[in-house]
Amino acid sequence: MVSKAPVVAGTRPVMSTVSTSAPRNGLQRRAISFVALILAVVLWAAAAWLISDNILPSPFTVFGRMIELVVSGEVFVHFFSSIQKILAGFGLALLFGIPIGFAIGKSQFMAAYFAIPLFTFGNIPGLTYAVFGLVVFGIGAGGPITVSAMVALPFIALNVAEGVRSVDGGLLRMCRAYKRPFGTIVRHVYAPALAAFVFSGVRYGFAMAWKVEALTEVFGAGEGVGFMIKRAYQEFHVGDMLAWTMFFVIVMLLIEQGLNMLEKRIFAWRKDLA
Amino acid sequence: MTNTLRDSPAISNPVPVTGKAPGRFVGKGTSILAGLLSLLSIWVVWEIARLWGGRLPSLAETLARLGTEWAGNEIWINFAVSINRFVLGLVLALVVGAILGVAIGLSKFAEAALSDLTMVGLAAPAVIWALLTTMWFGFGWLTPVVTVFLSGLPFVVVNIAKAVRAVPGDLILMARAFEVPRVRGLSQIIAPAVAGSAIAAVRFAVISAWNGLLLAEWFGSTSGVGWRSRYWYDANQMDGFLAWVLLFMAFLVLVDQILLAPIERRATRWRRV
Amino acid sequence: MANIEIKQLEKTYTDAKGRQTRVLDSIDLTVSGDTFVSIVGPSGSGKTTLLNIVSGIESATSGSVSLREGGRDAKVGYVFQDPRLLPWRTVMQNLSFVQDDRSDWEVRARHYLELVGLGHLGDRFPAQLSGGQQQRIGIARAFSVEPDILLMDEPFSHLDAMTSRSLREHLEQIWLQSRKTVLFVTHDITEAVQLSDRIIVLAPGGRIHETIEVDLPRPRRASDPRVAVLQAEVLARFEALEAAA
Repeated sequence: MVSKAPVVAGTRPVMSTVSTSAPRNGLQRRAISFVALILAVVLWAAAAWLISDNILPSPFTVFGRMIELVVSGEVFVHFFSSIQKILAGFGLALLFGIPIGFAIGKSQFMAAYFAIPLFTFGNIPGLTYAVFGLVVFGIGAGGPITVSAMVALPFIALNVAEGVRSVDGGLLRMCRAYKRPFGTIVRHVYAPALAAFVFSGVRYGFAMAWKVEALTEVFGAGEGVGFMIKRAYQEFHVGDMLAWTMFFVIVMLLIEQGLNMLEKRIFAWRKDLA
Repeated sequence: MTNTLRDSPAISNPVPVTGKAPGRFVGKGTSILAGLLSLLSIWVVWEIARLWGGRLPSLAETLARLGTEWAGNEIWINFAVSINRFVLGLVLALVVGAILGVAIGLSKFAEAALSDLTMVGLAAPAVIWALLTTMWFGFGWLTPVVTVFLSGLPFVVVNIAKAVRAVPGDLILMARAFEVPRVRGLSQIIAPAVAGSAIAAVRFAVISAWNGLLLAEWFGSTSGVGWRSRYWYDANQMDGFLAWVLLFMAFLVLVDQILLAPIERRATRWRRV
Repeated sequence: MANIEIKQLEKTYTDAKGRQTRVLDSIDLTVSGDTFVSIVGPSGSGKTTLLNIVSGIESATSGSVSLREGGRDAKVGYVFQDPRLLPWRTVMQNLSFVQDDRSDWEVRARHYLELVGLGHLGDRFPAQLSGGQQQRIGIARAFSVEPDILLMDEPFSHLDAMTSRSLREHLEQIWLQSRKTVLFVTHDITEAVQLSDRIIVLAPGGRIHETIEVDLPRPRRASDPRVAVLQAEVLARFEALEAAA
């Protein structure tokens, strides 16, 4: 007999994920989450008080530093600089990734041809990107831009390939039966099908590219978030370092959230998102 | 990698690592030819890049350096040190991550309390852990181990939570209705359901933690593979650096592609047929 | 007056190992005027292939197909087995997608949406509709291009019995109003007898086995005894064909 076995744990209604469970008891959830965050900060404050050394500054020092950085506008300058480089990198990645993805999706030869480079781009440790970015491009913007393009490329290319493969043969035959011109088919069948895939490629690639871009700036840059993190490290300023880390995390989560919402809005026709 | 872990449109496998195995192509000969052409193109592009950015090493020099590193026993010594740290940090991350992940998967309260913190962990880049631990612990063994632990942890938490949620309640009820013995229920229902995500937890943790280890050893260590690659970089010998990059890649390919990916493919085969 | 003329049509498929399978064998068929023609036959008798060749989706191995309306090429509408709607376009946008004549497509589209009873759902996405509703949109789409010839490939086979019965009645009504030349592929003999003026029975291997004229008054009801008698008769011949094969 299985009943009343420890397995019971598993028989609870399978829990829904964060996004779907939110609306039901959003308020309560938010409250718990908020208390947990406060608790984490309190623990941090206690640890800082125990150690009482500027190697672990108290949360209040760090929050104070964050406010200073916001007021002085430094945060905006450096984030703007980093984001600009990432956007340029993503532009390049789209430029190359979409045609490559099309080729992969349409031809098995091209798929085999691009398998090795895309695998390599996706698997090189971030350290390598950062070092070669510095070695080849120096401390200018070229390094971070190229690096974010290379990191994002496999995400976009593989997603586009998946999109091309997913374009429904039935729909294409329907277009032939109604004698739709090629341009119309591209605009109404391929483009919408691919747009969703390109978008999730961007979304998936973003987090990776953002991290590697910052890393590249740590190794060599004149401005940007990574550069500021490195400066804090060189000056042995843990407070600054934590402040920039917080900004980094906050901005990353905000942008992700934004992309997420945008995706739901644009692709309302998709059932699996609704 | 962050997004793989959340509920995402199941459009495609978001991590290129796991991408398309070349095995699925119909013409074996064609795909080998394409692979060779691909390697040739990479070599040509590399040579062109060398003309332009003069500090890139040639492949011949790199291979020669690999040979001398091998002969000098540097490869084994440094890998032995690094793998020690890596395994220690990774096992810690797996144990702690599994506990937290199970809690999140089972309890709504734990989920509400921990999921935001997990998101923060996912968003923080490994370099920050590497730099912070260097500042905190100096050049000891703690720096790489803690970095490995922290960069692997959130990936374990999210994937284990996912694994726990994948336990099919309705099938367990069915098993109870048929009075299926407990062991069989465990091996036929729960194990197959959670295996995919559980292995994914290990894979993502390995990839992310390896990246963290390299950075921690680069900034805060005087031994290990990351330190050795920095040694050549500081000596302005890029062939030495590239030689070690090839080793880093080889290690990941060995562990992830040759060891773990086939296990994951086997464990999730039923989903794809 | 639309005119379909099929002469000596053959289709063979060649598989990867070079083996040939014949799916259509010297088909001769002429349909003219507002005739509703059903093509029935056991599975594998090439019904869908025939329709695909007529529509131009597939090409024939040999033989000819001509679709004429007066002095010009006839315009074709196609209803598929599955709805085949663009999932990322609303119902109205889906109807707009297939229009060549942009002038008053919206009036036509709304008209046929009304006729299939879905006039109020023009702004929905396909994923928000039931299978039966999607199929009705597919029918409205085919009529909305004001085709001279309407091709239908088992359009009701994926639906439950209740839904398909009501859609059949819908189809007959619309057809009675708009009178087009129809080629209708089905494996359901009841459906064929209820809807058609002529039933063409294909034998395995893709030959025309026989042609049955149905001369019953419309609108027809499935409960009409004359329909039932004819059904039984066609079914008997069909069983004889299957026994022979």
